Amino acid sequence: MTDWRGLGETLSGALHLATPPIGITFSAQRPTGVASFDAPMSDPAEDGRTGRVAAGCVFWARGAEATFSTVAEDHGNCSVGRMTHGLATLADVTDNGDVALLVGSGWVSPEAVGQIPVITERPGAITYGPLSETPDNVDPDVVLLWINGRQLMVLSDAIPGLRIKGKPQCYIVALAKQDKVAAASVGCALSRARTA
Amino acid sequence: MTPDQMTCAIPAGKLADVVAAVIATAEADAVVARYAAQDARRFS
Repeated sequence: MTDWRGLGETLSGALHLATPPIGITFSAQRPTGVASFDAPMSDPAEDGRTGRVAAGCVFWARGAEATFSTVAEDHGNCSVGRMTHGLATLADVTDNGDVALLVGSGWVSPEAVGQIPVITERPGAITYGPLSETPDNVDPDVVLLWINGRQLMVLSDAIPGLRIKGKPQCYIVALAKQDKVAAASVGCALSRARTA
Repeated sequence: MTPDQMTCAIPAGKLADVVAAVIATAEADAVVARYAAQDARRFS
């Protein structure tokens, strides 16, 4: 069994992280004994989108505070996040209002939307939580770090081939889960507004 | 997400190797930073 606590604490110390590493785990169903994320569903947008948070990247922030599991409907408000995390296909979301805004504003081209890395196997549940508190029956797929410029400098030196990406921020999780490559993101306007 | 924050996603299966590399990198950085700080005193 991997010593997630030890690895997380060692990494936090070496990088001087202000926020502890987050474990993200994709599974067929909710892990036993892990609480469900239970914030209320939002009022629906005009196109019917709703969710328990504004976007999946919000779970990254909440996952620094407590361990919880989520299912597809919890992620339903952000079409891009649904797609990158394997919860929807491009065809599922292409007519949604948020996608129309992103394309219509010129933020992203229609061609680029179709090239965004995604997780191809649809998960039944996604669990988030502090890596150091990973339950015994949970085996994270991705470790997510909140970093600053200095910490990125160290990671860039330490990880050969580290990819540094931009918008949309959430696809770095797909790169780590699907392609098994480490990727950093400078963030994106969508995520920065939703996690402010 | 604060203005100075960024993110990094690491495949969990590679975390042990990343941690070892980060420790080595941070140690080398510390040596260089100490040297640079000492060297800079000649200019103050």
